[in-house]
Amino acid sequence: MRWFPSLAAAAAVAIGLSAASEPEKPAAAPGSQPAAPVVVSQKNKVFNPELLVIKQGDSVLFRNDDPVTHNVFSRTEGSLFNLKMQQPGQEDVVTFQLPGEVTVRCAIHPSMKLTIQVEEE
Amino acid sequence: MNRATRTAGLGGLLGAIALAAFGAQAVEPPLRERAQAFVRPQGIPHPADNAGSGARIELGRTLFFDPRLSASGTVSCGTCHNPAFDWGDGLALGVGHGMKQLERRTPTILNLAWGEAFFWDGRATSLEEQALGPIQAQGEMNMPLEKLVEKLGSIAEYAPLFEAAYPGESISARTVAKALAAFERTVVSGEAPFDRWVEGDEHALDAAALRGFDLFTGKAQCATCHQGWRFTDDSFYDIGIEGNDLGRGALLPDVEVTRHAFKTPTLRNVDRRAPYMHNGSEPDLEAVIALYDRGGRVKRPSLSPEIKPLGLSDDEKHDLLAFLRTLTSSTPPAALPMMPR
Repeated sequence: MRWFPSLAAAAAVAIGLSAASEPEKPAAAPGSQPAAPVVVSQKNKVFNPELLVIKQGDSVLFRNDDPVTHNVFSRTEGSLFNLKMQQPGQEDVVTFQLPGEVTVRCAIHPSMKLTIQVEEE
Repeated sequence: MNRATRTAGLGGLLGAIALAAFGAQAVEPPLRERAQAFVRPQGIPHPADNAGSGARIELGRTLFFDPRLSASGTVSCGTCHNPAFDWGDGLALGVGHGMKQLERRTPTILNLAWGEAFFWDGRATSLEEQALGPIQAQGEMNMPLEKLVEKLGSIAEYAPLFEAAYPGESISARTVAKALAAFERTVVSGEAPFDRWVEGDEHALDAAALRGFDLFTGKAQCATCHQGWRFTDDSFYDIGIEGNDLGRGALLPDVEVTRHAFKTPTLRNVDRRAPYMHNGSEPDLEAVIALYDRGGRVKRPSLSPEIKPLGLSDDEKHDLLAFLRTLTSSTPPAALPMMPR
């Protein structure tokens, strides 16, 4: 697993909030620049983008840009996750380890539909 | 396995700073600007694999009101979804096969052509999928699909109706579902005073109703969920009503926010559709407004964060009610079809 802290994560630390789980540090190659997670916004009860193509091992940052709570989850086998209640402004990072198509939904707002295609590295 | 890590975003931080600087009350856009989110659509959407032809809609209308779709021969879709009651039944809880009371209130079928998820818990993702549920449910119409097809096949005048609607496809559960869905998509609420105001008629709403619209889209935050011209976001919330019914939580047991969560109902013709909520617990709109004003009655972990005390005055509650009453159309109920014999 790879973990790359984002600018937003740094901001969270700056205001004194700690992450819910300790991120696993990557064994980055000397001199290599870690890739930032791809950002998926939740705005007006829609995912933006609604289709995302990433590489195996890439991370996605789910950001709630709405004034309402969201609950992003996936029941795709091998890529199960549940971000639970995401308050306005909250961000969560998920790393996708297995190749394939991942179906992502908001448990509150079924009109929010996101497909992530995870390509083999 | 995936690893999720949670942070409070920069946006939230900036938002908090902005609120501190400018006060907790956000500045709302003018009413006319807010009205643009409630403009009625042109035309009815039908899926490509079930285009809404006249023959399909007529077949669906006939099936919808035919009690022979039930095991007892006495319960049609229209028994509970009665057009004279704005496509509901006016009861707190539905009544099904053998006059047995059901666990949830009958929802109206108004404006489902634009729906995202169907049933109170959203377990069906299309009207075609939804249509066969109550027919088969033992507590409702109690009709196994194979018997349904057999029964319809024994009614001579049905065959030409199916052939006209779905040429070469024969009478099947699939064509029954498609015809019912095609008809249901045509069940659309008529123009109400609020629509005339949205279109520019300044006299369509009185001062109390306009203040109510201001509250609806502002302080009372109703439009957070009752959004758009249908006044629903097709989404699921625990609004703090007593009861053990898990609602959408039964479908997603590992997602806490879905426990006791039910679909946001439309508010079209709402003042004609008492009692209210998934279990009929609120006898009138005054009770509904009081429930929301106190932020729900049951505080539990699944309670939607959108449900919180509103601090409405009596005058504001009156104005909200005045606004809600402008959502009712005066369209007469649909005519009943002749039944095939």
